[in-house]
Amino acid sequence: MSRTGAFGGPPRPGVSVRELANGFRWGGRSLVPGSAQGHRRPVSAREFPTAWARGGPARAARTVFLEAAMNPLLHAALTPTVAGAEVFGSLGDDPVIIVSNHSSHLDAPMLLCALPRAVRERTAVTAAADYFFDSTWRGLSSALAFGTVPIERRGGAPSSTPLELLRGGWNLVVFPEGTRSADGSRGRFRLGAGYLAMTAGVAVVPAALRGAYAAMPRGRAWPVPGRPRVSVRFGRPLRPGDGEDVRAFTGRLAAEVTRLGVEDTTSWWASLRSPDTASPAAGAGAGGDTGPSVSSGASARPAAGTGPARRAPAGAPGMARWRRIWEATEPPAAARPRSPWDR
Amino acid sequence: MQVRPGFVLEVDERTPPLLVHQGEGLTLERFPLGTRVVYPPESLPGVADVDAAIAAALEHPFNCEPLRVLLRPGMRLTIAFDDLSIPLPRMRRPDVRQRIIEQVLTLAAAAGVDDVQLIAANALHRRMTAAEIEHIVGERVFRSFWPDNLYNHDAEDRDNLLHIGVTDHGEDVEINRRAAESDLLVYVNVNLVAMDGGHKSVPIGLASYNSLRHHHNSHTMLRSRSFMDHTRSEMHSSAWRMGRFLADHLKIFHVETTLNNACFPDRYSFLTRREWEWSVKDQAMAYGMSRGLAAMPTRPRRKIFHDLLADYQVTGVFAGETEATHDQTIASVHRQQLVEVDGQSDVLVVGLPYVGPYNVNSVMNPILATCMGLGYFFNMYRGRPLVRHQGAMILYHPVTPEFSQLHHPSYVDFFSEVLAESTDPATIEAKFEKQYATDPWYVHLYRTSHAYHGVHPFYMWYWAAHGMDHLGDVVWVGGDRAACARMGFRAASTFADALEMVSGTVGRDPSITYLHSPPHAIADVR
Repeated sequence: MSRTGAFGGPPRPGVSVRELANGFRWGGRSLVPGSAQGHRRPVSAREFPTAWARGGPARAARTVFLEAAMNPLLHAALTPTVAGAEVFGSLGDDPVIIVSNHSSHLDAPMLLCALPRAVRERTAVTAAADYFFDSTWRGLSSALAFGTVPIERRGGAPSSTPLELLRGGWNLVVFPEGTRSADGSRGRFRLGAGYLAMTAGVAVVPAALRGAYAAMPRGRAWPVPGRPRVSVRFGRPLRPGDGEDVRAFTGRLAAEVTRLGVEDTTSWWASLRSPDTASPAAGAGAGGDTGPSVSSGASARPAAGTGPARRAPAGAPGMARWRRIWEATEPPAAARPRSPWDR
Repeated sequence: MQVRPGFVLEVDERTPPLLVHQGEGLTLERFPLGTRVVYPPESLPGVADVDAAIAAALEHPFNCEPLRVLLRPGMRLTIAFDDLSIPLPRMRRPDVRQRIIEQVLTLAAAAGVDDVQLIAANALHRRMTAAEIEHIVGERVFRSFWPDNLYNHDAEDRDNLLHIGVTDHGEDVEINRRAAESDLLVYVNVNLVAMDGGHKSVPIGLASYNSLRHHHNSHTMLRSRSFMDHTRSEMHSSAWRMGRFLADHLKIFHVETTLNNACFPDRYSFLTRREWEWSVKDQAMAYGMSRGLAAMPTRPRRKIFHDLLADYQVTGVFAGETEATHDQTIASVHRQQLVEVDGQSDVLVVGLPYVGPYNVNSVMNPILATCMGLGYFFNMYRGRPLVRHQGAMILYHPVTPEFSQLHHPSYVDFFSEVLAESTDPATIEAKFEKQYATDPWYVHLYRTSHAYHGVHPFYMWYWAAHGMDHLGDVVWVGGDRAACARMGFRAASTFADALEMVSGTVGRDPSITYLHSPPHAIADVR
């Protein structure tokens, strides 16, 4: 009775190529199911070599790429504005750490393109080793295009590269939140940037990126249509005070980034008086709280008839997630109060 | 590298299609959101020096003198070993049984033992071919002993069976005469799953039908909950009684081994990887194989699978008195296979692989597929079944009514005659078992050819008795409709259809658990 195939057919082949492509996110990054997050394989401590990306030919290629391709592309897809970049003129050749809020893949290219060329050519961007350096092609391309260097954000042995870079005269872009914000609000600042600054004895230039979350949040690979506004605002360099520990210094950095976001929507003066930025400790790294939204144009805008001091801080702990996203994605106002302090 | 334990995944939007075995094929399936998927632990590292581990086990056994002390000139030494039904797939040479047997024989030679025989403990399984035996014991042992002193156990050779007595439950203990009359019986085992080993080795592997019928029956199987937990298995309880009875009459030195979860060769490593960690190459392999196998003729497709040799590594070697040894073995198996699962579900989904214990180098016919699904996979639990009482089980297998005339002659008649009458295990046991067990043609084929014993398909059906009793609905995805209907089941074209079909039993929004196996995982259901 050996009746091969007389009744039962061959095995069912299963999903189609299209379903396979969608399921495994071809063209995108493969995702780990939520319930498997705690079961991820530990990332090996392999140091991805990036020194070649800081050599002469790679720097030249990066300059051409950023100025001839990336910057026009950003201007074509967005409406970028930059403020405060003149602070780098006062720093001379001293290396600095540039810290910023992080809510979008636009952040690194926006920051790099906002920097003066002389500064940019000596600037590297720290990037998550487990994300940007998990495959060779991704590591090579990001190192070449943006001068990225891997840092370990899941613990393990810290990389010595960032410190060596600072000591070698390179500026470093660090996103102290460690990952892109899921709702546009500023997340908790980790202590790494402050620690690096104190260890290397360099200044920290805070920067606020506003509008990037609304333009291209997590999950998008291209900005939304309509050339949304995205602004970069640099602040004055900060240094640790006498007796100030890394936790307090990180809190000050976080508060300054928040204040810069508010300043971008109102004015320098108004930002000093804003309840969102009243206390340097609010939303600082040590606390673990999320800070006010700096992606939004509305977070600190005074409501008619009410002064800033009477507003509840935006993005306060416990605030509903939808409200944070709502604020972060609100389009910047077309007209805003004029102020002598406003540029 | 750190070995990650097994865990239960909850399917969400990020979960890619999951691999499902379906006989001699693979498929990628998208499961509904919220489906729980039980993943086995990753492969544990093997012992660094297997030979040294074996030597240490023989020299420092549990509750027993070292083997070296038990050997003496002039004694009758018998070495029995598990047949080809484990491990699955076959392991790459050298088989761990070969390594153990060689060390035992080396010690025996040093002690001046001349009278040595090796017996494959195949019970009512088919006789292994010379090549299959050589794969297990190795060329050196094979050349030294085959065929006179290395042979398959014959459960129908009345002259070479010895009825030792009955247990206090009235169970006949009858085993191979040579083994029973030996001064020392060394049993060499491979404990692939928790069901194997212990007193299941000698009292079953070397027994006759007269002895096996006491625990291989529908009543006992129904009360074995589960086979993977010998403390709660009625079948194991019976075997344990027989084993203890036997131990009073025969000196047994048990050697048990455990393997890790590396059940596929390296080039097919995607089969044991978690899907969201698949590289592009893994995805291409999975998709290519699922499509390619579906388009391939049966013969080459079968050859691809049955030629696979697993890269198993030995995770433990334990020796000594049977029960003390087995405790260590079970702990080692649990380290590799146990996964904690929180509660039962309405639907259990399994994908049956191409091979089970009884179709090595053969075809998995519908009876064996039922045994594999409702017998083994359903019983891969400790505590409570993965699926609730009167829940549904959905199995992936073509259930092609194709039978090997060489290996499974009695299955053909069982399928066409017995199942046509009834699918109730107790009914067919009462009405047909004796006839098939004593049929002279089947006995002849069992003894002289490579056929499973005439009663074997009944045993396969009994294995599924607990599953059949517990479940409210059984649906085979991709199964042959007529074959499924003959066995009292239903077939569905797709998983969605299967869910639709079982909705009358479990409702329209059932909780679903997919047991992602092989490799093996024992669900410790809390």
